[in-house]
Formats: sequence, C-alpha cells, structure tokens
Amino acid sequence: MYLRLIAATLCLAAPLSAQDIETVTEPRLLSHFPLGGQQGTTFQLEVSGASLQGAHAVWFEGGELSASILKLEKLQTASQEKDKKPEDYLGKAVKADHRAVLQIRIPKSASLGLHLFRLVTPQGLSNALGLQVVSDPIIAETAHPHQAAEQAQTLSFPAVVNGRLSEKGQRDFYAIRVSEGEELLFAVRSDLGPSRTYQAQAGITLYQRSDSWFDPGRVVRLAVEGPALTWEPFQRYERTRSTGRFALFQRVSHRFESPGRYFLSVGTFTGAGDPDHGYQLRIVRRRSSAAHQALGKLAHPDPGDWLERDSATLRQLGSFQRPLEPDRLALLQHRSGGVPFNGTLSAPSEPLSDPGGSSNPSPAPASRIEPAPETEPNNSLDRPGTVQIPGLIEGRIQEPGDIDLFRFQAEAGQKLAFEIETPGASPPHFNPWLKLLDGSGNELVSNIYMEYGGDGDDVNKTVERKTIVTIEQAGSYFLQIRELTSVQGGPRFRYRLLARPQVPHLGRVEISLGVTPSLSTLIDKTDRINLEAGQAREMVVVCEKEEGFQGNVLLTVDNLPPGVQAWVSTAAGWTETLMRGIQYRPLGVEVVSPRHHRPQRSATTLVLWASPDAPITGVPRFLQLKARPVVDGRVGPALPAGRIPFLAVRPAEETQVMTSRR
Amino acid sequence: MLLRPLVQSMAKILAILLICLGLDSALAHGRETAVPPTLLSLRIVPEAVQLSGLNPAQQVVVLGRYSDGLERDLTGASPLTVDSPEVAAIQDPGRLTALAEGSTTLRAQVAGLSATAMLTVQSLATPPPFSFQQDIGGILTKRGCNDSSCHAGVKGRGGFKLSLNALDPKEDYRWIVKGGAYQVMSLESAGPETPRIDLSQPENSLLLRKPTLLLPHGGGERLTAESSDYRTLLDWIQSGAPYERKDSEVEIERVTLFPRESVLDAEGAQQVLVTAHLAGGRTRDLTRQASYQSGNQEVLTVTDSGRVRARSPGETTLIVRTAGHTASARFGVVSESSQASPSPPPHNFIDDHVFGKLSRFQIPASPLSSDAEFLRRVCLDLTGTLPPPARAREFIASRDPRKRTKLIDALLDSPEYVDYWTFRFGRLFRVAAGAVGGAEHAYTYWRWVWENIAQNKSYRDIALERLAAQGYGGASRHFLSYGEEAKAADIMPEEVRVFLGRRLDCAQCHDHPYEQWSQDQFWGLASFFGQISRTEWTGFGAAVLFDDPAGRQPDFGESAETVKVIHPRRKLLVEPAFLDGRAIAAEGAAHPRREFARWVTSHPYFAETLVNRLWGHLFGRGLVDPVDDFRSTNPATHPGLLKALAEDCRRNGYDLKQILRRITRSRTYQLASTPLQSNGQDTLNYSHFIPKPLEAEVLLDAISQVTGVPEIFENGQGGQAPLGTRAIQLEVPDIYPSDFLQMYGRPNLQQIPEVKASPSLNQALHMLVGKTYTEKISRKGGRLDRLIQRDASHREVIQELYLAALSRLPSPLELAELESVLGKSSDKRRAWEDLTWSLITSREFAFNH
Repeated sequence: MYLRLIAATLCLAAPLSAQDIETVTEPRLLSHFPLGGQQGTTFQLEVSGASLQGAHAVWFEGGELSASILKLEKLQTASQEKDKKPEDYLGKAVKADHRAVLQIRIPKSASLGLHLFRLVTPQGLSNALGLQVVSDPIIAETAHPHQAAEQAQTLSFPAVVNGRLSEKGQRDFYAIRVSEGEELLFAVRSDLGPSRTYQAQAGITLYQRSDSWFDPGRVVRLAVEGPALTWEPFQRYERTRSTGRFALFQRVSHRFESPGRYFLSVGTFTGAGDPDHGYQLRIVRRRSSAAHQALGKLAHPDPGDWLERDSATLRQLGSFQRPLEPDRLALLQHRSGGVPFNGTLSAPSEPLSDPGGSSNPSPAPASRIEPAPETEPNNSLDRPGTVQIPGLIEGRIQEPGDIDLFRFQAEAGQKLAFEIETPGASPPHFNPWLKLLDGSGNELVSNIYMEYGGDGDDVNKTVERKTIVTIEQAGSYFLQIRELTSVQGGPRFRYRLLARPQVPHLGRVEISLGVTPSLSTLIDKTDRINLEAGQAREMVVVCEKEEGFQGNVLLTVDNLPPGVQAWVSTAAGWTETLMRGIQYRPLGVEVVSPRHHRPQRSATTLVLWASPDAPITGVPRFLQLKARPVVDGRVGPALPAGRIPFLAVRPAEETQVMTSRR
Repeated sequence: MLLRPLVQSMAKILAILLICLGLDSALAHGRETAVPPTLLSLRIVPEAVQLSGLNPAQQVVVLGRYSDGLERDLTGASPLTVDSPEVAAIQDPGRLTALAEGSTTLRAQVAGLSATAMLTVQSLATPPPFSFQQDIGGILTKRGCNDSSCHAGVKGRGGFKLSLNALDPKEDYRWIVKGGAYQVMSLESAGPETPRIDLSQPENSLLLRKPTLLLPHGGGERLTAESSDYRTLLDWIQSGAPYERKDSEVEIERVTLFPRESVLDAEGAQQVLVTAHLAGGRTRDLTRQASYQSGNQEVLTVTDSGRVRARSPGETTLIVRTAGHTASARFGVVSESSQASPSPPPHNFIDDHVFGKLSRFQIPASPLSSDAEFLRRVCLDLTGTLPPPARAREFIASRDPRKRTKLIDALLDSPEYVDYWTFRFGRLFRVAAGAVGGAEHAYTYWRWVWENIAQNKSYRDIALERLAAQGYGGASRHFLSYGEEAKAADIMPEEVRVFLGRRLDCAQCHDHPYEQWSQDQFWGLASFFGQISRTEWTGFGAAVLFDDPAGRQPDFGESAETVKVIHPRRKLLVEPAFLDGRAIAAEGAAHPRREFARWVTSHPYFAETLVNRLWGHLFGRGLVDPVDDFRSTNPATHPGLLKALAEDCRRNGYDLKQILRRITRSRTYQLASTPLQSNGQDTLNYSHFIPKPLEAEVLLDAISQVTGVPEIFENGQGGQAPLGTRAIQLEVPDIYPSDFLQMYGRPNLQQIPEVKASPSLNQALHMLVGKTYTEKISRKGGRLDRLIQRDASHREVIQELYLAALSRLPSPLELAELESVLGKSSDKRRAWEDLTWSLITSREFAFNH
C-alpha cells in the first residue's frame, strides 16, 4: 500500500491548479421555475443553464423524487446577445445557453423540504438546485399584471404561490382577507442563481389601506414584529454562491388586530428582476401544524455535517442551535477514538476505501446529564445558582439586562468545557455572553474570541459556542451568562449551558474541492466531481481536533466506482491558501487565547484517480468520506464526514464528438 | 426637441411672463409717514445700586420711552443728580463713584418727567476680593490678549498661550508665572521655562513690557503705563503674583447684559451695562472691564466702554466678553421711527413673540396668505407633496373657517407625512449605505427611522434609542462606519451636533478657538463612546454592536491599548465626564452611552435644538441659524420664542407632530410671502413668509407629480426601485444615483448633511434641455397625454396644470392670455407641452412660498 501511495504521489508531479477545477464545459444550472410543488403531483419544471448539451437524466440527491427531460433546447444567439452577461461570485460571466423542460413527479409520501437535483450530461454532473416540496396546494401566479394593490391577486390560505419577478423593480401584490386576531406566517424563498447577489432574494412587505388625504386608495406598509434582516444558515449546495446571506423580511409573522382586506407584496431589496427570477410564497396560519414546515430546509441533509463549528470557509449560522442533549458526553466519546479497535488494518482492495464492517463497538455509554432549570434570582455573586460538573442548565435571559450566575467547585488542573445552545434564537438575534469568573468575581475568560477579519488587517470578535479552560487553582468559580447587548431578553432568549469535563475528540471534518480567496474569506469553487478516465482530481480534507485530541485520523472514501481509486497525496497547490485562510493567526492585541476557542486544524490531500480504462458511471453517486479517530494505534468508529456527488465521464474530446453526432 | 424650449415657443415665454406678473402683482403698498415721537416715561437702570469695596463704581443709564415705541438712552442728555453728593459723585455720563458710606437717591429729569434709583454705599475700607481669573484674566480679555486671533489661538502666539476669555485660568497662570513655550499635542513646554513676570523687578516683566511696546510685540500696543490696567498688573506682580487670596470669593455665576434687545433710530445710541452676578445675590459692574464686538459694523458700532451707536438700518448682535463669560444682545436700527404698527391678531404664543418683536422693531407684518398659497406651502412643508388638483379645488372653495386647522391635522395623519419625515430624519441621521457599511444595514436603519415616525414616537425616546443603540439592526448601524466601529472622537461631536446643536469638533485637538468648549470637555464626552465594540457574525457586516469594557476592535496599526480613549495632549486614559466635569455614577458605568443619552435628552439644549431644527425647516431659517450651530456668538433672533417653544415641546413630551402643528397653526407661519414695501428688507423677523427653494428630492417628485410620469430609480446592482417610488421614499437613497438630485443638491451623507441650495448653471441648462424637464412632459400615459385622450379644452388644461403645479387657479388675466396664445397654436399637444414646461420651470413652482 505504501508503495502505491508513493507512486501516486510521484505521478502528481504537475499539481492541479484551482482554476482548472471547473472547466467551462462543466454543466451549470442557473435557474428553475417553479421553485417547488405539492406532494403527490406531477408538473413541468423549466430549467436554464450553461453547457447542458446532451443532458439525459435528472438526479435527485434524496432519491424520493423523479423526473424526465421532456425538452432540451439551445437558446438562440440573438437572445444570448440580449443577456446582460451577469457575473457570478468569482467575477466570471455566466449566461444561459440552454433551456430544459422537465417532468417532475412528487410522490405523496415524499419528504417535505428542499430536494436537491442535478442534471446529468455527457460533460458531467451539474451543480444542484433545490425543489421545495410542500403539503399545501399550489396556486399559480395570475397572468395579469398585479404590481399595485388595486391589481392584487386575491389569495386564501393556506397557500403556496409560485411566482416570478420578471422585471426590474417588480413587486407582486397579493390580497388576503383576515378575521380579527388572525395570526399568519408568511414566508418567501427565491433560488439564487450564481449571477445574483444575496441582496436579490425576495422579501415580503405587508400593507393595509391608508386614509391618505392625498390618495385614499393608497396602501401603507404595516409595522411587523421581528427583525428586518434574517440571517440564514447556509445550505451546503449553496456554498458556491456567496459569502454571506441575508433576506429582508423573508419570514414575517403578524397578528391582524382588525378584520378586513390586507395586502402583501413580494419583491427584492435591490429591485432585481428577470424572467428567471422565481419565488415561492407561502401563507399559513401561525397555529397550524404546517407552520413548522420551513421553506428552504433540506429534506435530506448530509449526515456527515457536524455543525459544531463554522465551516472552514464559511460561517455556519445555525450551529448555536445544535442540541445539547443529556447524552452529550456519549456523543463526544463516540468521536474520541477512546475505544480499542480490535481488528487489523490490512491493505484494502481499493486504497482508502472503508475497511468495512468495523469491529469496534460503540464506546462505553457515558453518564447522562439531566438538565436542571435555573432559578431566579441568580444575578449577583452573593445569590448565584449552582451547577455541578458535569451539569446542564436550562435558563433564560428574562429581560434586558438580566444576568445569570452559577457557582461551581473545581480542582486544580481540571480541564473543563462550557458549551451554549440557544434553541429559541441564535446570533445575531441572541448573543449569549459567557464569562468564567474566579471566586472574587474577576473575569478569567469569556466566550468572545478575536481573530483577523474584515479586509484582513483588522480584528473581529466572535461569540463562541464553546470555551475550554484548564483550572489553575482549586476553589469556587462562577459562570456568568447574559445577552451581549443588554437590551434584549424574553421568552425567545432561552439557553442551555453545559459545564462538563473536556473530551478530546475529532471535531468537524470538511471536504474542499478547491477554494478561491475573497477578501479574508475563502469561497468553495465547486460542489461535485466529474472525473474523466485517466485523470486525477484532488480534494483537501481538513480535520479539527477538539479539546486536545492528540490522535490521528484515518480517512477512507467509500462507494468508489470501478476503476476509480483514492490516494493520499502531498499538499495540493491551493492547500496553502486554504490553510492560511482558516488557521488561527496570532495577534499582537490578543486578549483571548485561541486555546480556549479554537481546535487544531490539519489538512490532508486526497487524490481521486480514474484509470484510463475506467468505465463511465452513467448514474451519479455519492462518494462517502469517513473518518476514524486513531488513538494509541487503536482505530475508533467510522464517522460519516461528508459526501461528494460524483460522476465518471468520457474525456472531453469524445464527449464533443458524441454530442455533435446527436 | 432639445432646443425647442429655448427658442421655439412664444407660448412658453408668455407663460413665464404671466407667472412673473402673477407674483409681482401681489406687491402691497407701503405704510404712512411717521410723526415725531413724544416722551412718555423715564426710568433709571439699575433701579437700585450698591457700591462696596475700594474705589467702587457703577454705570447707570437713563431711558426714556417715546410714543413711537422706542426707548432711547437719555443718559448724556439728562441732568443726573444724587440727593447726597457726599455719598457719591457722577463723573462720565452715568458713571457713579462712591465717596462715603451711606444711602441716597439718584434722580434724572427730562422734559418734565423724572425717575429715581436707590444708591447704597458700604464697606469702602474692605479691599475687594481678588481672583486671577477675574482681575488679571479680565484685563487680558478686555485688552484682547486672549482673543482667538491672538494668544488664545490654537497654538498661541510666540510660544505664549492663553485660554480664550480666560476660560482656563490655571493654565493661563502657569504660562505667565512659570513660563515656557506651548505645544498643542503635549503638556510639556517646548523650550526652557522663563517666567513672563519678574518678581524681583516687576516693571521688567514681559507681561508689562510687551503690551506697552517697551519690547517688540506683534500684537501692537495694548496698554499704556498710565492706564489703570497696567497699574493693576504691576500691583499684582509686586504682591507676589498670587493666584487668589484665601479669603476671596469671587465666583461669578453668570454675566448679564442690559439691554438684551433694543431698537435705535438712525441717530440713536445706547450705553450697555454688563453685570456680574456673584454668589449670594451680589453683583459687580463689569461694563468697563468687558470687551465688545458688533456683529455688523455697518449697522452698529461700539466703543471700548460699551456705548453703541446706530449706523444704518438693519439688525445685528452685540457680543460682550468678560473673563470666563460671554453674553450677547440684539440691536435693531430703523431708518425712521414711526408709530408702532398694530400687531395682527395672534393665533398662539408664537405670534405673541414674533409680532411683539416686529412691533418693537417697527416692522409691519404682511397679511395672511391666500388659501391657495397656504395649501401649497403646508402640503410641501409637512409632506413634501403637492396637493392633487381636486383637493386644491376643494380646499380653495371651502368656506369652513377651520379648514386650515383641519388640513394641518389631515396632513400630519397622512402616510405622506411619514414618507417625508422619514426622509428628513433619515438624512439628518445619515441613513446611507456608504455611511453604515452596506445597503442592507442602511435599510434596517431606515426601517427604524420609519417606524419611529410612523408611530410618532417621542423624539426624546428616538434620541435615547439612537444614542444607546445596541444589537445588529436599526439605530445601532450608525455606530458603524464602513462596517467598523466609529471612533469615539468622530461619533461624539456628531451626536452633540444633532441633538444639542453645538459644534465641538474643533475642541478635539485643542480648546475650541471661538467658544467655551475645552479639549478636556471634548474628550470627557468622547469617552462615553469608548466602549463601542462589535462581534462579527458572518464576516460580512452582520455585526452585533455592544458596549465592551475592553473597547473596540483594534484596526491596522492599533493595539488593545491604543483603541482606548486617550487624551491626545495629556496622554492619559480619559474617563467619561459630562460637560461640567461630573463623572458617571457607579451604577451607570457599565452603560456609558445610556448615561450619555439620558444626560443629552434631559439637557435644556435638547428641546431648543429640536424646535429650532423644525422651525428652520418650516421657515427656511432657524431662530438660531445654522440650526446646529448654537454658540454665544450666534445667538437666537428670538430667544424668548425659542425658550417658549422648547418649553412647549417638553410639556408635550417631545411630540414632533405637536411642534409642527403648533408652528403651522401660528399666524406667523400663515403670513403671505408677498412683502410689503416696508418689510421687504426683513429677513430675520418673519414679517412675511420668505420663499425657499424646494429640496432636490421634493422638486423631482413634484415634477413627476405634475407630469404624471414617475421617475425611474435604477441602482448599480442591476435593479430598480418599484415603479412609482418617489425620491423621498427611497429607503437607501445613495444606492440610486441620480444626475438630477446631484445637480439640485442632494447631500453626501458621509457627514452631517448641509444642503447648499444655490442655483447653478447646470440647473439652468437642465431646465432647458434636461430630460427631467423635457421627456416627462410628453411621455405617453402622463398627465398631458391623459388630457389629450379625453379631449380637454384649453381652459381645462390650463386650470388643471395650474392646480397641479401651483395649487391655484390662474388669474383671469393669465387665463385670458393663455387661452388666446394656445388658441393660435396649430399643434395643441405641442402648445400644452410648452405650457407645462413653463410652469415647472417657473420660480413659483420651484419655490415653496
């Protein structure tokens, strides 16, 4: 095996450059319409994209939905010239040159949520777009103009409308009739093509009639509760799109105090609009069961996502809401590699593929930590609550300025970790500020971490989900938690605070198929691998070692097709860029040490190599990356670490010939 | 098409002429010739005089009230006597000096009328209290040594630095007694410290030899060796140059000026009195120790002893400086006194103040505006929107005596009010993508302004929220500049300027050269903002703003230490301190901005600044103008009115609508804009409404409204605002570039906006050939197109366009002339387009009058 690894390394004398990773011939989906459908229906979907010639199949990642291609047409040159050649996030001009019509079948039993699909072409697999499956009836947007309140399309609810913002500055108006005290949830979702900025997302505005002296028919916007800006967790498939994502009033909840006819409009913040700019609007009663179905949530998320931390290249906004359950210690121990691996690690038939049927049993179950509610008042050093180690507190910032304090005893040298979960609201809405105080109330460490950010030469502070410390002196200590701003509090400001011993474990494992620096952030270049026979393609796997994990990590790639192998390689050309972007850089102004907040990160380059005689796969598949913690020569359980859509394709020249023959 | 408006249209030229005629025809006639005034009464000021200490003196004035309403200074013209001449003597006109302890009566007699004042002399053997600030600093102030153009300049002069008006006597004492060369950015002396006094040979002191020109002195001769001030300085040095005597108690609480307001005829003169008010209710005459300055030498001159003399008609301010204090008075000069004009009937207390001053200054008020004039004015002022023609017809035709009041209420309740005042406060608060580091953040900031205006939230609460804002949206965004925390020294002066109307910027690097603000005060206030910090969430602007005792994040080249608020001269960490030097109470230390906000909103300046700002909007000129430049040398034209409005504002809970309602209901606001011959020169006293140019956004919206063609606002991100969006409704205006708005003065919101409304050549050319004026007129679907579609008559079109653009019907003359001209045209559409162009390019359209 070692000889083969060395050989493979030598074969890669000419490193691949990041720019080569996604060639211009790789198929790309740009937009689709409608954005979703109802369970148990069949309908036609229009897709536009580039380099889609020869597309012959539609691949749904979750496997529940199916589709066929009814029509594929190359767009006319004239219409191409009309395109304004928008630029994608990399500054690359992208324009649609193909349009396809798909027949979509959604079984009644299909999971609710966003189903990702890709087109399969001779050139390879396209990027993913999302199709929202809903349980509510779909209403078509009226063909009549309805860009003013007096032209509004009347809706009853629950309702889902598939609409388009076809023109710049367009706002589609809808009218609803509500009874007194009616509470409704409004949500809108638009799929961002690679050429659109996050500011082009659709948002909702609610209106009521005014009694204006100037124009009694004028409608005026309603003041709605909740923040104007909504920050959304990134979906994995969206990562190539932008570095930040927000929406203005993407979700609005409103109680109508007076009965009557009201209006809402769907438009974008920047007034963007074009024929491909679809949206999906949903209106449901707040207290209905359907209210819990959120638009945009993946129906089949990647089980390899370990959302404990930000992604190496992007922020994971949802990770403050990872559940801190009573079995938290067992969960971490499972990733610690502490349980002996009894089998032998023989050379597999395919290098780096899963050694198979791991004989390592599950780790010994750790003791459960039952949550305990906080008891007010606990906001001063002389009247604190208490917490045991390990202990899980369920508390709440009751009102603006509320401070909760908990005392605990610790021994010298004790290694502790403090984790926070905020199930009701997470940053930037609720920003829990945790401080560890000594027995006299002096701050020892907080969960605010400083790192380089912005344009690269200034410093950012971040609120961290986890803070680890080593206690220097035995004695009494306090944990203090409050809202960062001191102007917020209430029912949504719930938290779970877990105080526990540190468990060295394997943290997040992330796969990168290529990155591009953008200011101080890295952007993923692609989300799939289309590999030609005889070619190789590298991917960098970044492993995070949490809480002093000193072991190694065994990486395997499962579900490789015949003729394709995975090998360990020297660092890829862009690995240095990746590591520079994600590694901690010490500051002259450091006030909080990284040892309290950052794991050790290490990168491994794997290379996928398709032998010259490797058959094309025809049907896409997921390559499964698995990681096993290795401690003292013992191999822990296989942890899913991510999946990569894969297709083995014909060499480009052959593909061209085949396509032209068609 | 492009040059058509310039050369091809007789109708256009005629229309312009007609409009001009329409405006000019309203000119009223002058008033009657004045009759000689007669003396009605006499008085002595002050009414009671107390003299004490060594060589005390007091200036008094004799004033006569005349039938023309003027009060004239008769001090020099009247025989002033004391009943007991052994107690006091009168030297210069009106100057009393004590001779012996006792009481007596002071008498004045003129034309058979008499007046008296009580005089008491006591404790003549007791030496007066001494303080360096009053006695030495007073001389330096009187002689102009500590003027901003001399040693109180930023760097001092010749290495010798004095504080302005002896505001910092300890520093002055140091530089005089210890010597040394001043440095702006350091407390240390730049060179060897050589005292400017010589205790062993007092006459050789630089402090005496320089101002007497015994040594070269760039400031010229300031003293003579024979003067009493020279003697005082010499005595002080000879007595060891003390800072103060232990038994001294000369804390001056305030300095007042008499008269605070006066009107002189063309030959008039007036002696002013300057009085220091000391603890315990005692007073001291500083008339001879003060420095005087006329705000306008063409109107008024003043002598070193405080006697003012009229020069030409007008109004100006007299500024008086004493050690540590500044005071001011307003003087008017009338060309020819006359019987006071009867005041028009007031609507509310505003009119009492305005008409009272008009009466005193003998300026007649114009009559009440016409309904049409009022309608257009109040619609534009309260909503930035022209009244629709149908509403204009309805209002003009209404006979309801309360229709103006009802209209004001309807406008204040309209969504257009919310649009307009969101726009106005959005501008004041600098809601712009470029100002807060991103369009989406500007939007949440805008949304905060909108919600507050829509709810008519108390302005006090708005200020509290803005100043203490935290979180990731709304008002907190204005603490971000390019996505990073604004620095304390940048943001504090802005807040003070916005909410307290004072400009402290100059005091950042040195004591303010013209005002009383010191560098220590500046940094004490700035320190309230020293804890502003942020957490970054997405790395792209989702910053959560909060107060962190560790301070803000370091930027390039900074460290955790240097981000703290450090006094640039003292090189010390500055703790938050209010203007009076008071520190934050311990319980508020965790939230310094909240404490600052509470202080700001409870300060008397706060309400005054607000009402002045709104007044400035409605009248085109603040009672203090510029509206955010309150200072001792820029006093209010109507100080009593300013205080009354501020009090009214406080009493009504800082209710913006109530302030606007109060002002727009006043008769003052509702006066005609057409001046009388006798008030045409008045620009300060609101004798008539002075037309003001429409703001760029309002003008553009008005053109769109008249033509019926909405403006298209495209942004740089491939989108555009929804069709029909008005310029005042743009939520993040700076992402919508507009040549028109730029040309007509849309301000750059990178700093507090100051709109310069001066016309330009570009504007003139744009009126002729610019697409805003030319293309909208002929656009399909526009107002004209609709009139053509319904086959309207010339008369209908003229009336509709007049109502749409000017909110009035054409006069019979205008209507007849226009019908005649239009009737001769073979191209009806073209003729109507020309008429439209004429109307929207007229001054009557482009101004609010």
